[in-house]
Amino acid sequence: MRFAFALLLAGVLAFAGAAPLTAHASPVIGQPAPEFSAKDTGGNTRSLSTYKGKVVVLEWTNHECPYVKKHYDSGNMQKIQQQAADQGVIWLRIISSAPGKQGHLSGVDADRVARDANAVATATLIDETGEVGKLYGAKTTPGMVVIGADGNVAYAGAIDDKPTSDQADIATAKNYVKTVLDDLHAGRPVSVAETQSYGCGIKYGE
Amino acid sequence: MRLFLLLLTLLVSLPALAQEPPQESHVQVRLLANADAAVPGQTVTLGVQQLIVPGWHTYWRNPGDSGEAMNVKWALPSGYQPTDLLWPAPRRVPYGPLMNFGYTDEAVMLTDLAIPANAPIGQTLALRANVNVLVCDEICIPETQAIALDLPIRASSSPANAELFAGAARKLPQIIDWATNTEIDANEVRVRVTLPSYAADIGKAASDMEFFPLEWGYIENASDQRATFEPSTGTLTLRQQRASGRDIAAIESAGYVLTDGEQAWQFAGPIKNAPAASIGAMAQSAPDAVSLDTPLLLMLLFAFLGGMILNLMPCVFPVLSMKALHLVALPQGERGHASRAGVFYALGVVAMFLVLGAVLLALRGAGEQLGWGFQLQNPATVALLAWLLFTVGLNLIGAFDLRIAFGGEMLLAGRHHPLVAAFLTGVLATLVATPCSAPFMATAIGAALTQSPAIALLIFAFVGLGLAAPFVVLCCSPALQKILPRPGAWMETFRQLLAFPMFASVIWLVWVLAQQGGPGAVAWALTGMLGLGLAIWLFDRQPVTRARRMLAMAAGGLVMLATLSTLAFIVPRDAVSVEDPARTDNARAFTPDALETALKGNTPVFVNMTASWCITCLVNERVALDTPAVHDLFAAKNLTYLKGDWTNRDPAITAYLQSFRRSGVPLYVLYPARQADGQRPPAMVLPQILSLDTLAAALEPAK
Repeated sequence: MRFAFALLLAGVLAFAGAAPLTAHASPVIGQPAPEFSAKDTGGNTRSLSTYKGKVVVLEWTNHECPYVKKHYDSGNMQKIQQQAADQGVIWLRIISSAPGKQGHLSGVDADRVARDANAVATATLIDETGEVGKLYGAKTTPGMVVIGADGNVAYAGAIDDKPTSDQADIATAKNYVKTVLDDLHAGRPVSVAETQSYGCGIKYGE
Repeated sequence: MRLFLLLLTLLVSLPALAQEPPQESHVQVRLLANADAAVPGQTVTLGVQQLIVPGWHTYWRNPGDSGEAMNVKWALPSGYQPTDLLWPAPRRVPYGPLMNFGYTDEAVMLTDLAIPANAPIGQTLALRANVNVLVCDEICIPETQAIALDLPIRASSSPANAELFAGAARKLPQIIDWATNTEIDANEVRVRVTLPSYAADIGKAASDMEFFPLEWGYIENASDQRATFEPSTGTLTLRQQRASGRDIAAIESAGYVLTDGEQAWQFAGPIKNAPAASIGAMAQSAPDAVSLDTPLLLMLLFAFLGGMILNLMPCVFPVLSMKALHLVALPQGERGHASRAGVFYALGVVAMFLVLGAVLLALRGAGEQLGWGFQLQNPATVALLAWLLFTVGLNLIGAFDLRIAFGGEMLLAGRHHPLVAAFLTGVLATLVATPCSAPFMATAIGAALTQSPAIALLIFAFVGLGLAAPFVVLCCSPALQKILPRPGAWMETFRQLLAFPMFASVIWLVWVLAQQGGPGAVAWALTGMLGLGLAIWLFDRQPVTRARRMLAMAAGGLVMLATLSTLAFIVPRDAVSVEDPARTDNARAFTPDALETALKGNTPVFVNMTASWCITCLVNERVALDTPAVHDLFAAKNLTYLKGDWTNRDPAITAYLQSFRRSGVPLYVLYPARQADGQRPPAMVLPQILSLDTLAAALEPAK
């Protein structure tokens, strides 16, 4: 009987144990930022790991989106980009619109748009496959992620707390990215680590 | 003259200029009132109506993955303050891989405006507002529109726009205060709504239900939603993949809108972290029991092996033995016919397993929270099985000679074709095996339930094939039959001996019943057994008369019916077992609340999901969990031990099992202690055979 027990338990166990684990990636605040590589506007491959030890800002953008225009036309985005540059922060603009979808740009056009807007960024990445966007769960433009110098995700969400397309709201808005960068710069814990991003849905390919 | 020409040109072109639309608009916003006048001291309902161009959509108050809800900036005379907008129930609007919540074609938001008592009659109330509304198709366009309505202030008013306002009111969610709760674990958000009886019909439309959290960030908006309804408790369960980001602590209250497309309801309820306070950290760590990736062939092999091993169980072994004895007793020349009987026996077994499987799948399909072992979660079924085994035991020991059960030639065998008899023997063997298949096959068959119905039934069939296999092989192989001992007087002794495993199984079933229904249930079950024994005695008493047999059947049937109906109405006891877990092992009863509280601390938490009828569970408890060494280990680690008892149906435990993709017990989950940085490492599912070493190793901090 004892033998039967053992046999049976072994059988049951083997059944239950035959299970592979599933895993799906999605960044979590305080956890390591997932590694990615993407082509920039010049066709060079940029990898997150290149910027190890530095604070990195990821900005999902779409030049025709009214919510993106709100922050570029008012100079709000350029202002925070300039602050980041002054603090030695890496700033990557990312275009995740699929080819044929609204907002998709060639490298040349993306450069022109960035130049016309006086954007201050380390690079603009053309994420045609949407791989980087989906890796980071990016849903809207603008959509912001800040990665700390320790390589962990420090912030994900909206640029500020006024989810509108109205430039007049910028004056009274709390800029979350600025807060996060100030916190990181001062070595403080990040006070707001996650918000709901707002804006236009990213035009991923099917 | 030139001046005249210029003026003429202007005059001609002005109307043209005026008719040209200012810009292409994708949504038209209008302000309407439900009355033709504002009456001082009364309230007028205002509607902000969006007429949306086909193909475009606007957004609900929680817009989903992107977008923005309409914003109305009122410019009203002082003393006028409209209430917050009431939003009609939204629909899901897919947007590539994203999901938005919003409206197409038309939406009317309502607000109430109180007219001050001193409003001057005879004047006009000028209602003005600027509306910012985002309207999207492939691209998004923020539109700003001025809306206006002039209402005369009069002593009385007549209704206006009655049809539009009635329609708008129908689309508003009714605020309800039904009992609800939200459980959130690593994978899933589960919202349970207990429907009052007057609203039970809502449950029937579960498959059409969509639910929408009022707050962002805790469901994966684009993932599939599932709604199931459990009619016996009136529980509607809504579930969706959990968003892996937002800290649950940051969600202050969970409010939802639920809609079937016609009606809508709005409710709020407390949030519970089902298994983890450190949800973010364990978002990716949910283990699979047997995933879809497990090759089907392997699953079938294990099902077959499991079925074969069932032959050795105390409730089945005697049956198989008696069949073997029957073969022994056959004259040498007739053994050739045995092979066909063997095949029909196998058919009977497989057919019965398919019936059991189909019943289980159908019940689950109807929304019941069941796993394998369900047959033992009902006191009446347990009692019936105990009686069946009792009867078989009496027969084996020779208490009655009526060959009603398994002595080989069943009562039926004399009257029916031998192959039919073999088939029915298979059916009965499966029935008798049922109590044993629950404790031992719970995990394996539980895995089957995660598959499609066809595959699940195939797995059931293979368990049956496994159960039947040894006897079929014996029947078909003359070589094996030769090994069988020669018939003789020993057969009768052996047969009587086989009654005792049967009686042992009866004791076990009555003990299970005690856990479920307490002393009352045991008394009723034993009374039924008494009636059964009496009836059998009467039935078989010499000389046999027809009248006595009728009396016996009537009396026995009556007693059993009475006790069974009593048992059927026994309300299963609370999940906490009669066998007070605190007595021996310092365990506390598992509830989602208790787990949540325990996880808020820093120390490790161990969850043990068990059931009285689960032998594997009980073995583990005796040899590992309930030993002094483990008590000391738990105490040294300051571990919180939570024990969930699934002996009776318990939706909270079923849900917890399912969050680990199990549908059976045992399940052992260890939540390690928080690390120095305050993070709790992912929960670990421990093996189903526990030892002190396993537990000690699991409790060591990760290197």
